[in-house]
Amino acid sequence: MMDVEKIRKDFPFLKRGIIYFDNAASSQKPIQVIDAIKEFYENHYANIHRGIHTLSEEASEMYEESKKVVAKFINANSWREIVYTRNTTESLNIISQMVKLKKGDKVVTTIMEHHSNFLPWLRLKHQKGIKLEIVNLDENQELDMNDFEKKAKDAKVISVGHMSNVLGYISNIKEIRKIADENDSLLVVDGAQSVPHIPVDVKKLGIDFLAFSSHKMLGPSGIGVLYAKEEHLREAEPFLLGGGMISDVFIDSFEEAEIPWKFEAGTPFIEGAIGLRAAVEYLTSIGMDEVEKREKELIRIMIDGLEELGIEYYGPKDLKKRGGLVSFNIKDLNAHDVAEFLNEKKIAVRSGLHCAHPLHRALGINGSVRASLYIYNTKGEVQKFLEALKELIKLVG
Amino acid sequence: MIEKILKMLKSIKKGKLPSANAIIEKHNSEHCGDWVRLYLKIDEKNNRIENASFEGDGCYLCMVSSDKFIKMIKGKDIKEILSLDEDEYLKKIGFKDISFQRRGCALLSLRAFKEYFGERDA
Repeated sequence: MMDVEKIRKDFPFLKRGIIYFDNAASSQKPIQVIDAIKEFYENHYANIHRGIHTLSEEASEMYEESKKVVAKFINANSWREIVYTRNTTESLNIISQMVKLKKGDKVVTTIMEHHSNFLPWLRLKHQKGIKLEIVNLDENQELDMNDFEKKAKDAKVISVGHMSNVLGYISNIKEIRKIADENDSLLVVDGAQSVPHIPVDVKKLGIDFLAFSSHKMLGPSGIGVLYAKEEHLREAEPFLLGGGMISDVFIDSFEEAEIPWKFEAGTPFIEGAIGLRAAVEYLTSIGMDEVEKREKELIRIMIDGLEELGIEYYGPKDLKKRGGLVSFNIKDLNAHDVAEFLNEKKIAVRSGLHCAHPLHRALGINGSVRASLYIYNTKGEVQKFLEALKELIKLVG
Repeated sequence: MIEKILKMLKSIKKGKLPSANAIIEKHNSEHCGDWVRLYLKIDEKNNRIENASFEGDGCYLCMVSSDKFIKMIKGKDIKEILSLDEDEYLKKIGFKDISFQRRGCALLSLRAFKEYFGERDA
């Protein structure tokens, strides 16, 4: 079983006495990640793949080692399937170009997507004339799988969020993979909210492309992951040209480097990769099954508490279909004012539209308050949060 | 603090103005969901705001400041309102100490007004 008190000792930010429930936006960092970056700067720093001197050798090896650790974490076939980007958004934008769509090709996405899994496809609709289908929610505020099946007919690409950053709903990727198979579609998964919180196995789930961010999973911000099956990476064209992505250059042509390097032109965020590795190792040492179990336990208490207080929350009522976050609203109060009140109680939550405007429109609301959990949160913190909301409701009258 | 906010929110008056001859809408660029719609009855001859009201949704800073803005501009010369410096304005409406991140909330109505008349004059 997960030892929360031991985990909490690893997170220096807790000294501030803040209850941090804004993990879906970004997570805090354990000392192991902070130390890994510090140690790299102090003892091994140099550019990678650029020199034969000792430091460059060490840095290059450490950078590649990071990819091996990440590949294993999501059960990729090889570290060559791991491309480092800046974040999920950048990964999804690149994927939208990698899949090479032409006029009339169909892409299916859903109403619950974060803008980063919506706008790149919307742009292709306007620029290239692709068909864009949006799957709706059913009455339980889950993805309507009948609508999914209908809209996915003959789709070239299905691009779906693994876990909604507003609803907390976890998509049934296995079922969506079946739909993709029926239509011979590529499956793109936005794993920004899932990879940090639940086990994600790209092979078991049959994912063609997966995007996620380091900063939401205890690692540094500024580095993200683009996973793609090796065959897709080999076929795709590089999107940035320059140093590091070629094997040879002539005055009127060039030869591409091997994957994944052909997608990483220029000096990458080396220390970011070092930090991400430490973060993945930290999560692995706990075990993603444990992380998921722990968050489910806490979210159950939180949602039971919200229901008891008569607070409206969004997403499925069936907790098996939810991850560790919940968005809600309190009567006539604006979400930002609720967040301000909680901030006074040293509770950090997110308020607003959470980069999901179409979803909020579909829900008929102009914003929500979101509490999102992680491994360092405790039952006591959830209780304090619920007590604060109780006090607020009493004040509003 | 929350008691103060709730009290301020209760005193706000929102609504349309049927006699308005200018309607200005602005959403906060911070994509937080905050928006205001200003209804203005302009005395075109004297370039004066005869009457005004507002509708909108947003955080208390946005709504309270908009309410104060509406009260402040009634009967005022448009040029006079356009000449208001943002810091001076925040001081006038009692929000001079708000954090940097939240300035946009409290300035939304003034900025909407300035954009509209700035563009119209240009």
